Amino acid sequence: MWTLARKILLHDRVKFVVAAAGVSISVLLVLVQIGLYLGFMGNASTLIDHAKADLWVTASGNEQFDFATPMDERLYYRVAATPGVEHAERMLLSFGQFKLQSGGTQGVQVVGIEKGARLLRPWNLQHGSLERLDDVDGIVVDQTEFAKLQIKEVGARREISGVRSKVVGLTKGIRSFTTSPFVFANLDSARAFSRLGPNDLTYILIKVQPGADVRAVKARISAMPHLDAFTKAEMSERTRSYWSKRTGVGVGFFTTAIMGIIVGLVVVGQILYNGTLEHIKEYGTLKAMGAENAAIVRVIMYQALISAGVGFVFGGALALGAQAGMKALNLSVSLTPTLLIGTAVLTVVMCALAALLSVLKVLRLDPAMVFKG
Amino acid sequence: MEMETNMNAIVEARVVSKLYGAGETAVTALSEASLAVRPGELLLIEGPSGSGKTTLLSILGLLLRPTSGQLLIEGQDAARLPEKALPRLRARTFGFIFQGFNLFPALDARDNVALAIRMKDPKVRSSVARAEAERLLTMVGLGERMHHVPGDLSGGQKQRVAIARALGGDPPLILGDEPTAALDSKTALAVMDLLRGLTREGRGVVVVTHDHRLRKYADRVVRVDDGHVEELRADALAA
Ligand SMILES: Nc1ncnc2c1ncn2[C@@H]1O[C@H](COP(=O)(O)OP(=O)(O)OP(=O)(O)O)[C@@H](O)[C@H]1O
Ligand SMILES: [Mg+2]
Repeated sequence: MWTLARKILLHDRVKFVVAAAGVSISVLLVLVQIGLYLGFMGNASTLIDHAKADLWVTASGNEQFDFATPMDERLYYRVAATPGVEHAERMLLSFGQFKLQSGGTQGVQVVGIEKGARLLRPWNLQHGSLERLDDVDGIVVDQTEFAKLQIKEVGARREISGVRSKVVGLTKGIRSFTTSPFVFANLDSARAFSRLGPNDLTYILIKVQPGADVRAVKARISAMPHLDAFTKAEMSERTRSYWSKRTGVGVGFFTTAIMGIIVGLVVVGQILYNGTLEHIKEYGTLKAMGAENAAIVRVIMYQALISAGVGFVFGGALALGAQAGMKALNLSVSLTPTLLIGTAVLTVVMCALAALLSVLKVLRLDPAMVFKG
Repeated sequence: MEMETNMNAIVEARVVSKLYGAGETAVTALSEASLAVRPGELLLIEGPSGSGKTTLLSILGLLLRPTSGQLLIEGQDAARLPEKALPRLRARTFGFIFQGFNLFPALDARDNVALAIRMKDPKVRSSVARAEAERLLTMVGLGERMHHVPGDLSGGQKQRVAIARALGGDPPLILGDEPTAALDSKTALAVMDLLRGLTREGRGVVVVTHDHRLRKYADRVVRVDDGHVEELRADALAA
């Protein structure tokens, strides 16, 4: 039956190409839009996702990762002494003004980490050395932010919030959601870059003892005054959902994706229905000869599934092309396996829905029509 | 009008009437028609346009329920069977042929026949259906045209494909509504020859036509006039 369905579908090449193109465009839009969304959301929580911390501790009442209010270093010692904590690390995330060669400034997100930090350090280092972060003015920036920061290489010297800095390392692919590039520095420099006090920090990263219950440690820390603790997964999710909701970025991307699905539905539905009408006498003949509805419906559904398959392959290939193209524009389209599988399922469902009108037509078809002029 | 009870008839209509619509605008397309089709006979249904020929054929072929009367198939009244029992009964009893052939333009001759075979019985493997399609096409004289699509066949050849398709599943009765109307007269007669040949293996064939020249192929001729069915006697035929 597959062969027959394929032959019937491919008989009118032009229509088939239009149907496949309709599905491809849907698939492309869904993959690129949701991929972009996932890419942005990946950026939003990239520091959290790459850190090896089991728990993130912050001053209580902080709603948002990137805009955390600082807390005093004394809290760090109490947290580090909490039963179940194997290792605690201070971290600072704040904003600074990066002086550009052209004379203006560019806001940056300063990431301050302890000397010899183990739980969070720049990853994907391409040039330079992480050890040099211990230097008073050492900073590590990402290659993909070169244009924004107007620098080209290790060794570049720039002021941040009036304090001297020097690029000692370059990473690849560490990008923020806020559009302010990340600048890694040691804790002391970071405090200076963001004009905070010498005892200020925004996060305490925690590795719990092997075998210790993360939830229990979290509960102990959360019970302390002025502190909130979140597991890595919670922190990551909080950050993504904050940006997604606050910026409406999710709505925008998903709306476009849904429009893509509607376009696919209409195009495929229209073409399948058209083909069904064109063959209505033949389908009626099969019914007259005793074909069960299910058998005819299968021929139509197979046509829908073939359109889905061809459209998914082409749309997927286009999405990979778009991914490569957008990479050049510094945009990351995150085509995760889950997204690909989800889109494949969605495509099949979409095409099956598109076939519904045709199916109804066939189910309602009165076989007595075969003898009508 | 004779009221024979035909135990060995393939299908028998007994005092069948058909009304289209209701009330003032109701049309009586068939009134108290009785007709039996026996194995091995070619029955011709004649009559003017709008007289009820197609209606009669549709009722005989279980495509249309009569408003009243009985339709005996395999010893039961098929007019009373539930809708879902009809496809299987149609599949094993009838093959249909049409004025317009109704072949899938995308499928070659063999696939058109094979599709019908598998639609009638989904349990048939596709290789078996294809082999059977080839046998039937050879039988109707299209052994050399198996892989032609309808667009590349003449009208007569298309009707032969349709006949091969109607023979799929080996039904005892072939029903045709003006199967020769779209063909030139020479081709039409050749198609009738082929249908005539089918009756020799005991198959019944019913053909609706306007064309009196087809009478010479018929064992019996039935005339429908304004919904009334009447069999023509042999002496009337000769005239
Ligand atoms: N679905 C329908 N609804 C209403 N009236 C119908 C319907 N089908 C047929 N009729 C009417 O029933 C009568 C018989 O129609 P039928 O199609 O059986 O005639 P026919 O003998 O096959 O005519 P033709 O030679 O033109 O094909 C006609 O008057 C026709 O208008
Ligand atoms: Mg008619």
